[in-house]
Amino acid sequence: VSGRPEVFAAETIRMSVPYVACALGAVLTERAGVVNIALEGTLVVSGLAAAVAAHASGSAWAGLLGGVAAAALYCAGHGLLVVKARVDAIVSGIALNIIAFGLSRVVLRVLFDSASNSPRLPGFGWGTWEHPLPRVLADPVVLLAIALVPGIWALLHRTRAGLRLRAAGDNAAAAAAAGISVPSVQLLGSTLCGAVAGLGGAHLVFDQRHFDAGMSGGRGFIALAAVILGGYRPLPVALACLGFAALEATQIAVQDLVHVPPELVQMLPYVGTLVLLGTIGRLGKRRLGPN
Amino acid sequence: VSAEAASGAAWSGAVGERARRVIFAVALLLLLFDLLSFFAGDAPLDALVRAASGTWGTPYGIGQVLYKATPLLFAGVAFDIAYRAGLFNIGVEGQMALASLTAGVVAAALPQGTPFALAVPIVLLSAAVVGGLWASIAGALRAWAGAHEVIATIMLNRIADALVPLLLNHGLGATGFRTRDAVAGARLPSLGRLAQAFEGSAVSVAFLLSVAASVGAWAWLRRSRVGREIGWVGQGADVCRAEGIPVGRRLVLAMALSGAVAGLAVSATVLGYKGYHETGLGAGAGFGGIAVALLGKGRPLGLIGAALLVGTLQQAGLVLNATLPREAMDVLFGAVILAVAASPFPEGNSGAPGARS
Repeated sequence: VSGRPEVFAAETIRMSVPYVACALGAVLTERAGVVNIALEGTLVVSGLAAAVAAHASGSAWAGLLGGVAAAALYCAGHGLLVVKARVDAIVSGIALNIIAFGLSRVVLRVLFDSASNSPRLPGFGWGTWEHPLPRVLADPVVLLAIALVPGIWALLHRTRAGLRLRAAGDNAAAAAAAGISVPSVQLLGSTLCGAVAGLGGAHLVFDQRHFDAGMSGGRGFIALAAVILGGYRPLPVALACLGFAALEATQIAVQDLVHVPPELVQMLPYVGTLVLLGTIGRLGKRRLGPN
Repeated sequence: VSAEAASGAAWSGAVGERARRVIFAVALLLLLFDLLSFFAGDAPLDALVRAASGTWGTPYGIGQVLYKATPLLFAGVAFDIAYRAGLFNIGVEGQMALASLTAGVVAAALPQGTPFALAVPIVLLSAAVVGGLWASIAGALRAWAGAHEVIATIMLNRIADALVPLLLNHGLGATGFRTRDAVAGARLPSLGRLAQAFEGSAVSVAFLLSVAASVGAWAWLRRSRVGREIGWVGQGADVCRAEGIPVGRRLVLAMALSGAVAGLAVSATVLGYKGYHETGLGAGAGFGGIAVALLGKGRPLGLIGAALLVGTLQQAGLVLNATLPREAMDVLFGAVILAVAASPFPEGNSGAPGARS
């Protein structure tokens, strides 16, 4: 069954959602000139908040809202620290990642009396489907993530806010001279990054129907790699995410047929990114620092 | 006289600023600690007393704090060396993991009866070389391809995360989780052998090595020609290039040394405590070391103090684990990093370009 192409396509789309959400969020904040390496923490925060809200209300929609809101707050905090308190963006990202992981354990213990996971959660339950493709697509989080690809592109290139965002990131001094409030624009970019990436954590939670302390599994870092591979442009970035998801789906599909150590496949996105950095290294530098 | 008075005022101003910052950080720590333990249903004051007596209250507790502080201090010194060159070595964690695997493999492969004076240097050197080589990949990408070292070291960390279990599973491990036992000569003595009081705790003479490393790195960066050049490159690469300093080579050297010092952390974990490498041994110290470096501000005493602080938090986390998950201490030290970083800190080469102008 796992060899059928539509199963493979469906699995690839499903697995790409957290990558796409995180990477598109990162595109927004990086284009505004605020580096965010706390995407992994954003997945943890949004997943946990989605689980808590869904568990408390009994509604997956409330969970989705809670996850997105918490992630937006978390990344707004990063924006405030970087833009207002002048904390180095890398330092803030590291600290926020650490805090997110620590806090998730405390919340799990206190609210669910568990060291590692939440109880089973309500889902969206948009019908039961025989065919694998509609089964994956009949999910509001997946549909939202797909809609975000053209959505983020349009936001960046067809709206005034997007123009300001890019201006603040490309040349802050010129943007300020043109009357743009660079700090507010960068805060907006940071917050939007959280809201978008928060979909990723919500997807992980509602896909598995529970929250698990280790469930982000490095996806926030893979998303960072996708952002670099895609050159900070929404469509190429989303394609890079699909590529990484296809790699993951391939590994799962072939693991029964040929024995490839899973760790080897796990490394590929990172090795690919390093090789790309080595050949056209300026890409990794473009958004990360002036010198 | 007025110049003297002015410099005196500036001096007391600087001390006042630093004291305010320390007081603020400690107050924040206590406040968060109380909030978290209250949130977890513990009595805050009681939890604080238990945390204090479980860390600095007994010789065993002190020994455990020193054990935790040792890899943290190595990691802090490692991060600091790269930071002097203006580089963010986020990859200390991965460099440590690969070095730890190397140390475990080499220490077990030595012939039985290799004398201490030969075995320990061989193991430490191989760990340092592997850590240094792994780090210098990021250094070389930065120096000669212009790739940002933060991205490169994050990728290298993730690769190391997969590479270590892969190698353990395919030939290098006794099982999939650990290496074979080290030969007797490659073990560092426990500090309990020197001071009876520490008997039973995990601290070894590696702690003294880490202190020596922090002083040694500080002196080398200050006193040697190459060390000073590394600091100048961090201040301004273009000026250095104009002065004929080989900027690229200095960047790679700073990363390599940083990774090598990170690799020396195996002295505490593999050589001083376990006697083998196992999955997860020393994990987290690489990221903790970033906090140590940021708190310690490049001075040996600062780094040692910061390593002891973070080590105390980690040990306190274990003491309180029954009521408050030990990961709660990560929240505390994440918050302290932010509190310290929010005050003026020498600017690195990264960050939000827009936010800085």
